[in-house]
Amino acid sequence: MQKIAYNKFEHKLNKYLKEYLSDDSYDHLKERLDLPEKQADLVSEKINEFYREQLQIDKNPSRDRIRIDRIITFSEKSLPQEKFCKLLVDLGRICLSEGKIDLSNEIFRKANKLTNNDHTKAESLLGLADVLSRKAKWTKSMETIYEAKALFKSIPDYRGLAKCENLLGTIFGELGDILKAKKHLLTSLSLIKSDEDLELAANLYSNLGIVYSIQESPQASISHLNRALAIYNKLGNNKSASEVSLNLGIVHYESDNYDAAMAALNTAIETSKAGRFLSILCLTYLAKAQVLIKLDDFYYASEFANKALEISHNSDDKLTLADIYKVKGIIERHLENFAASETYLLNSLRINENLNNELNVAETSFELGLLYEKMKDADSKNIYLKRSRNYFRNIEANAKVDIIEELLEFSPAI
Amino acid sequence: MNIKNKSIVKDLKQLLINYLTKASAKDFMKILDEDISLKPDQKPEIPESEKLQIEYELPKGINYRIPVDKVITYCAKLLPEDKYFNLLLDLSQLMFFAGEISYSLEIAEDLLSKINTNGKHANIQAETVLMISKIYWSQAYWDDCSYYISEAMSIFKSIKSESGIAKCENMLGTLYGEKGDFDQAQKHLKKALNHLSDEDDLSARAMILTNLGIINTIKGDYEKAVWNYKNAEVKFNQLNDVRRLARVYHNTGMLYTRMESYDAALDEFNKCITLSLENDYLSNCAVAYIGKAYIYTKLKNPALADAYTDKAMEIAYKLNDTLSIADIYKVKGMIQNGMSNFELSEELFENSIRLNKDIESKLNEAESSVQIGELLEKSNRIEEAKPYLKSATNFFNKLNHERIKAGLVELSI
Repeated sequence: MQKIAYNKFEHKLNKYLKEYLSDDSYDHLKERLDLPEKQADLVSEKINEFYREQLQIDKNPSRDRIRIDRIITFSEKSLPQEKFCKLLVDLGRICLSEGKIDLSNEIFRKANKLTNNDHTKAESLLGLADVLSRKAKWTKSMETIYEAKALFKSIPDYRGLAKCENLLGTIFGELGDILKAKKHLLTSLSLIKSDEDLELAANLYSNLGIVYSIQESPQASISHLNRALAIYNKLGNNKSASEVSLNLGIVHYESDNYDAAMAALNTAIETSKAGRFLSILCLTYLAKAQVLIKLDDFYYASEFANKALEISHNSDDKLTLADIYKVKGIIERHLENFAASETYLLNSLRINENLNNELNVAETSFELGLLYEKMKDADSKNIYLKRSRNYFRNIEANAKVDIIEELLEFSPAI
Repeated sequence: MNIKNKSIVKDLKQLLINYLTKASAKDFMKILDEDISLKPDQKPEIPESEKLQIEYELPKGINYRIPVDKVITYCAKLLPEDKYFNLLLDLSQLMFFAGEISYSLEIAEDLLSKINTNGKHANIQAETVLMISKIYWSQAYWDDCSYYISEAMSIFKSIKSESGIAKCENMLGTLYGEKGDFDQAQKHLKKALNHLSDEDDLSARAMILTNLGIINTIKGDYEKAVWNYKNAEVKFNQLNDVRRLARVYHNTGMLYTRMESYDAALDEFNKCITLSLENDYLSNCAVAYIGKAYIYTKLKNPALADAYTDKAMEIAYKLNDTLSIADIYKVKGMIQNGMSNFELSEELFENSIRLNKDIESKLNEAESSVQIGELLEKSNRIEEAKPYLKSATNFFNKLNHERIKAGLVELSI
């Protein structure tokens, strides 16, 4: 059935393309569109039981929507208005953490419209800002955070302000402005009593752990992440604990410690599958694909990347999607399918450029540089590597700059 | 209860404990664990003729995304700017009809950012902005929809595009229609027609006629509505526009439903669904499924009605189509009412009313209010029924015609 559906769509798409492209270009593009699908068919046959189990997830989102609708209707009847609005904010947060972005948007909007309480309004705005940031609408998200901040300030509510700073830190982190990200996270930390507000403190340690990792300080990163993990375990917060396991996996991967990376990622998969934390599961599949590439296991890497792609598309997580295209590009490059690799990497670059994500643009440019070196296209290689180097120089990621410099100097005679 | 969803269920239960009294949290949790669909033993075998529609497997969005992303990336290098922009707009439309709403928006916004920095291509810019308004409209985000219609209108006006202005007026008409302000809707649709000369833009004319047909149906002017739909059908056939043709069939089905010609209505819904499934036009399917479910409740076939509402829910959730979700709750309420499960029926009507209030859909709110009012009257809860029936009567009085018999979502274009 799926295959038939895809064929129908393919037919429609081809009709469009014939309208717009010349015959030559059409044939060329058609070839590119078909190529990776053939590869994917081969991969599915090779999957073993262990991985099959890890990739099996259940999704039944409309049943959850019904439950949530019933709760809202029932509570609206049963609770005083302001208490109901507070419940909506909490409900919105639950939906958000489950990756139900549209539904949480609807709920936060309702809370924001109904409440007359400044604190609840500010919390609903913060929720909306979080929704917007997950849709990579950075400007609107930041505007909404500043609105929330003004309200928290007027109360005054320092914990609320700290949450705003934390979200600003994560947005700047996503945009690749690591120095600003760190500044906001440290400001946030200074606004709370970390031994009392354990949850928020753990969030901040976790985010700082990511920042240190990008700044190539693995020890500082691991220490912050472990600190966060200990708190989450103590609080029984499995979702955040699995997120930290994922980040630990990434730091080990960045430090070339693949066994430790694999162990941490398997823990993250186990806990996020059990709790159905789809957004974390998606990122973990992606990270696992990256480790598998390093272990030269391209077939399984491809399978995990494909599964991650499916989840990220369903949850409209464009940033992760762009990252997955990058990983798929790397896999195809290793398999020497250069045309497919180029298309995936350019996909990734285009989406990251649209999202203004400088870090990811630099990383994808680096991968394109490596591809063009293999394709013996020195001009393109230099353009992309230089673009990447400029960014990493700005954020003082010196080890990465050294690698790029070395690659730029090494221009084999053709 | 679906045990695989235990994480969110646990969180939701904890939330209720935090906010409600212990006793009412406990009572409600018991209700929450009950399914709102019929129990397996109440579900007879689905007839062969309906199987294809009910067992339709939703296409995986990622199967669209991968090839379309490649096309977008690859064609950026190949095509001249004008052609590339038009291709992006076409792809956004294609994804919209396929039910990939977020992706459709992403493509349209990407296109808009490219045009903005460029400063040229006002016509395609306005068309893209109008496309974005349609995406927001489909999710009942009326404020965003209205904002983008105004933006598109001002661009079309600046380039004196009469057909563009007509499309904006048409969109304003559909927006007012969704909110239940049918006089305003009709005014804008008529204005839209006036902006078109006789020979131009067959497609825009057919769209406006379809939407006028919806308003005429709602106002009870069935003859005019038939004329509108027949006219639109001819034009969409001429243009070979299957997507919109399917929508005309749906709306004709709605018209027959209101006239209580259920067999004729089922034929029209089936025509819509067949065309839409053949082409995976998901955005047409949910409403037509609800239309069929409604008729099956009238024909005292709750099992089929229930199966169709379940499928409609799956699709509407994917489309983030709150208007349809509210309607599904209403039909489910009618099904449970027919099965004498009055408590659950009442709760489902309340869900429908609450959602319709949230999205300011006055007609649908009034229709669900009638359903709950009648249910309460039947249970001798006359005083509780009164406010529901009164608010519905007020609305229908304003509409100036006898109470509408079927209240389901028409599908504007």
